[in-house]
Amino acid sequence: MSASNQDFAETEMEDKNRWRLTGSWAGAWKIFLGVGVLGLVGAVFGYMHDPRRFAFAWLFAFITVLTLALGALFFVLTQHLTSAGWSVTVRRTAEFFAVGILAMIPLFLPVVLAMHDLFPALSHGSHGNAEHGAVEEHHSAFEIIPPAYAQESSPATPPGAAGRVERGALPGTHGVPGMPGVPGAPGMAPGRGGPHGLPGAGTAQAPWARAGLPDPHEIEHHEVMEKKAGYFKLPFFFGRAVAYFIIWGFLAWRLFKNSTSQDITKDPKFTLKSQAFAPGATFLFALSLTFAGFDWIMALEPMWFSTIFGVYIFAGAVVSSYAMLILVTLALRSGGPLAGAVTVEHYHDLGKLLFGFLIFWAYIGFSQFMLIWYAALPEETTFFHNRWDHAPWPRLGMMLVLVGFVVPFLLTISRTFKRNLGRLEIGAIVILIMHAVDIYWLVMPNVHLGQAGFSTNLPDLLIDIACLLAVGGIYGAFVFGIMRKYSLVPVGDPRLQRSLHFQNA
Amino acid sequence: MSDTHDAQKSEAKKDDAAPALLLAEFETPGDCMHAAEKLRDAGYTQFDTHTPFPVHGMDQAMGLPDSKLGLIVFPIGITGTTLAFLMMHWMNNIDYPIIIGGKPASVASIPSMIPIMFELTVLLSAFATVLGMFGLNRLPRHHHPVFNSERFANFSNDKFFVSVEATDPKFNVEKTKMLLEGLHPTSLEVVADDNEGGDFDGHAEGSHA
Repeated sequence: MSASNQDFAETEMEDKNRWRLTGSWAGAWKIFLGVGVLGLVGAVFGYMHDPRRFAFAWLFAFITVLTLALGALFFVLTQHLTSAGWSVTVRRTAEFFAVGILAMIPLFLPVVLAMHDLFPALSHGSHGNAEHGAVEEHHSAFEIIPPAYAQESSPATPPGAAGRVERGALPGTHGVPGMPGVPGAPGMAPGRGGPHGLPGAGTAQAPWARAGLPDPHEIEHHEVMEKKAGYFKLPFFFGRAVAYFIIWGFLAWRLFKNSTSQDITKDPKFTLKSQAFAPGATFLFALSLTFAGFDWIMALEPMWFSTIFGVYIFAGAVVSSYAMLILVTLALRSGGPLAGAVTVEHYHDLGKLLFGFLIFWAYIGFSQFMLIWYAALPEETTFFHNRWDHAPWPRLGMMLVLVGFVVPFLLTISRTFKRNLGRLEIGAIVILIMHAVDIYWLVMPNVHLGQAGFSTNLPDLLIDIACLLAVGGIYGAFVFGIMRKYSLVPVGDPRLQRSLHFQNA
Repeated sequence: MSDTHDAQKSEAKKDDAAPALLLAEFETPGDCMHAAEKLRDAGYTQFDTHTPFPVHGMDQAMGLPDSKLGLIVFPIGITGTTLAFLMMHWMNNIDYPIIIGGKPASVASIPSMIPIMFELTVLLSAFATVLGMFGLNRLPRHHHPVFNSERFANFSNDKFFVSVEATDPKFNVEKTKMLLEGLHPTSLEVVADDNEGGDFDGHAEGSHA
């Protein structure tokens, strides 16, 4: 049965006003819109002040909010996958946030416009003629990724002390023996691209430089970028972005439509349709989210790669989205519309999911770090060097460990804590804020990749905040706008009564 | 075997053995839960319900507090974390310091210790959970007087039971019996603690004598 054009919201009016967004909440979308517009104005000023900073700030804001929407979509998918009855009363809220992904499509526009600033590999691809072009043409591809440790190669490291790690836990040695020079490759520019922290190599006297040979690492970088060029061809890159939005929009809209259509018809068939839809949808969701993570975050540093990266983004998306779900239903509950529909039993279960995915996020994050740290392969360690060598990133990284994991872990560990809504709320707020910090930590070091000088002055920070307010405000306005038109609880779901009286055994 | 015969036997046992518990049988989970609420409100703490399937809300009806298991598991889990750290630190950094994979023989190499710290946390937590559960439930326990009742086997079929232990400070055979009778059980018996298990025909008792 295809989705009808009829506006179901209108015909549903005869239903009692229970579980409708009424009273002060009906105007919530205006507040969000106000915040969004305010943020947008700030973002425009930010663009005029520093277009590069604005581009990254917008991407940070976009990814932060996008992951919230995707996490909500994942929640809806898993509830259908497991045919869950307990979550029926909270599922609609997640459906609103998932379908809010439609609002993210126009918000992607600034990312598209700034994509050559953001994704250096795209410029590499746009040079064309990858096979036949002169090497110099591709210089820009690796020019933007000077390894962090190249600038800091410590002349104090004596040759032969390579086994001893001097710079904390991260090895400062590139440890690659000089490659045979390739004739015709560009000579390195003085002062950069030289010694990648090769033990004993001072800035001015790299062994290959003394021999009149090119920097072996530049050649290596060049070869890698050459191989990635096809993936970063502009039409392919752009086409993938379109595909992601089509997939997400389709999944969210389909599940939303099934659920809201059921409000009117009370037909259990819609539940079965959603359940049959969920397994295939989950595959699409997983692949699209993973590749979007590669395309829009990992590609900020195109030489670097981590196969677990998509899972890390996914874990952060899910845990933060569950935190948002808890906070929004708590607000709507005390504010009226969801009173009686969502009980402490639902929060107990949401708390369990929150706690589980928090550990999952930390587990993935640590696994990624530990393997890279242990192997100490130069092309992999760049990511953590860039987030360790210059302020304010080390502090932010430690904050992610302590405030992002340890604090909410302790806040949500016990059954009593999860059922204590005040404490659960604090845990959810901490997780939600730290999600923004997490994405900030992923995106923003790329403004000055591998270099000091990331500005934490107030005007620059205001650009970041303005972008977050703009994206979050517009997304929130869209979500709370559609909330007015539908019941906040899927009144047609056959398992509604079971969910209303749900109890943890 | 007739009910009257059972009742007579129970009465007979009451004389030679001290009552261990009162066992009331109910037809529906609702009646059973209602009985639990009444007992809870009357201040009883040493009583239990026996049902063929989990009855939602029974914990509250019985007035059971939250499990203390977490308070046992958490400190033991943290002990595991600490123990693993101290073990790795002593072995790799103090007793026989050695550089492996270019990682310093110091606390700076903590990332390589974390998997072991995690594993030992999980291991000791699992032990604490299982053993703590046994301890809190006072297990293993090979016999309980409640099995002396022949009707009791029906708890795993279609009947719902409430048992009130004689160890309850509020327990008084007559008064508790009155309270339970007021809840209209389908059967109410005093179960004696005779250590004989379920003797079916009295032979066991005879041979014992």
